[in-house]
Amino acid sequence: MEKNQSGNLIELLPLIGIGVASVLCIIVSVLSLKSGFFIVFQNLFYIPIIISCFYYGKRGFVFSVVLAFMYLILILIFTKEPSIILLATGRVIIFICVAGVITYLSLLRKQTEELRVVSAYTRNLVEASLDSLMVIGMDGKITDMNATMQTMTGYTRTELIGTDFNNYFTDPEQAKAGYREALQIGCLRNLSLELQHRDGHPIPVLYDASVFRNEQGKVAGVFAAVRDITERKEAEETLRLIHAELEKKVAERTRELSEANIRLQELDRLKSMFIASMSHELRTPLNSIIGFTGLLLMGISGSLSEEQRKQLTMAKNSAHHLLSLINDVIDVSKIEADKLELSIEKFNLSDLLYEVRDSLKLNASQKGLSLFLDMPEQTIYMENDRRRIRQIIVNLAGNAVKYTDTGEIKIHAEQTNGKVEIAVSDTGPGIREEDMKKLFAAFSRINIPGHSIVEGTGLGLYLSQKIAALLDGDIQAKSVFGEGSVFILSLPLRYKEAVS
Amino acid sequence: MKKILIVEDNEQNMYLINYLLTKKGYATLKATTGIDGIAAAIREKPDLILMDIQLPDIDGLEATKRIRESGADGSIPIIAVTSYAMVGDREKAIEAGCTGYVEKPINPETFILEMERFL
Repeated sequence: MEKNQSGNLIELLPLIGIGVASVLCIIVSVLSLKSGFFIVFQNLFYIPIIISCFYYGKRGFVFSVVLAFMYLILILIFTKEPSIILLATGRVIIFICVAGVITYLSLLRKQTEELRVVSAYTRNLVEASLDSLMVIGMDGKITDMNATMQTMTGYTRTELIGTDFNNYFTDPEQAKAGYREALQIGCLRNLSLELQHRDGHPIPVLYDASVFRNEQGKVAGVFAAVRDITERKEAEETLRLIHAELEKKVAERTRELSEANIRLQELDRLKSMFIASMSHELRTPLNSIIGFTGLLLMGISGSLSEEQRKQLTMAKNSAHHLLSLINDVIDVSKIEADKLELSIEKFNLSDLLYEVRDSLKLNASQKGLSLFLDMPEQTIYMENDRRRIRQIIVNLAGNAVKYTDTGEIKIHAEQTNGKVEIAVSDTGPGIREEDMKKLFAAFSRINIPGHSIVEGTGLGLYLSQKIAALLDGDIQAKSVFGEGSVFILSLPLRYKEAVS
Repeated sequence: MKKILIVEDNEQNMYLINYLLTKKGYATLKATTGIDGIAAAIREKPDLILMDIQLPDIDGLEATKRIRESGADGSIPIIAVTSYAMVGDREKAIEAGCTGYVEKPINPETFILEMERFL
């Protein structure tokens, strides 16, 4: 606050000085005039008045008039002499005139100064622009421009002024058209042009133009801004090159992929052929082995000793096992190649389950296990792949027989809401928690502690699960280790693509 | 004595089936190609035909069709004998005119029973 007050005081000092000086000068002047002292002193009151008029303009003039009247009043107070009063009045009149002239000159000087500052500011803004700016008259000739325009074209101001603006573009006609459009519509944006440098090299630019008007509001010409977009163009070019390179690479990769695809298809075809021929070539001799051992076991080729019968049975079982391994491997390859075809037909599920039971009855009874069916009284008719469903149930029930040493195996069937559930439960060793997740993995075998190793490829459950999925069903396993397991096969009564 | 025509190209299979049938007291006729099978069927009028599906010339299905078309005897039971995993074989066989269907490998113990159902 104090600082402010003292600041104000400093600013006021010249005014106070002039005031005090004025009063002193007036007193000296009045006294000089009255006593007929030096004429210089008599006119001393002019000085502060002239100064205040010069520096304070109109306010100074008012101040001067007030002082002049003060002077006159003082004269009237100090003297009644008519000649002196007349002289003083004359001086005051002349003085007021002089003060008026000085005030006028002072105001004029201030205005000129302000105009100069404003015009320099405007000019500096124009010159500061990074864009080339030019003013084009109604005749298409350049009337003004900034420094950027001079550097961009390589011509000096004097060379440019008064020349046709379109001559500085590589395509003068297009530039002219842009100018005309700006005149017609009032403005024009982002016209892509090329500025021609004095040395001949083109500069890619974007050309913006708008009309400007004179004091009467009439269009006086076009104000144009020309932006150098060399860097942008270069970036675009680089981008285009990168893009082209990328496209080339994509095309190359696509070609490589399609070639690889052709090779893969060829391999796939070879694999399919191999599997087809394998399935026939491997099975034919095996069928013969199974057939002849069967024939020998029947005893029609001659009676067998107990030992011969035992050995032949082993050979026959091994041959059957080998056959089922081959079949599993073929099925797996087909499933993995999505080539497992389904054969949908209508059938009686009960018949199928009886078949399964009959085929496993011998094995079960040899181990002293009871194998029984638990089915609803109402017959369940299905429209699905009979052979594949049989394969799954044989696998599940076969596993139950293989792994169970004492107790029973039950195949339970039940129909609910368009679905069939076939549950195969056993009183076998059960499956440990940690083994449950690898149960359906390909080639995974689960060892049960305290149980002899069971033959197999580790493909059975994997295949069963895959086939069940193909038939829109699934297999769930539940087990209590040490008590037994249940495998539940759920299937739709009718396969989705079944024709009614 | 019932006459059975065996159409089979595999020598060992032929021997097996032939031996089994002879031992069980049937008279057998043998053909190793589809064309021979058709000729034998028309000429000999067997009581039953065991038809292998994979044959060197025309397949068993085609041979069955031709036998049925020849009108030799529409009532001769023809049993298709085929390998495992030939999808839709059962339907195709019935469609072609077969009466029944037996899957390889042949189990001698049950084979005769299965066959006799059609006699």
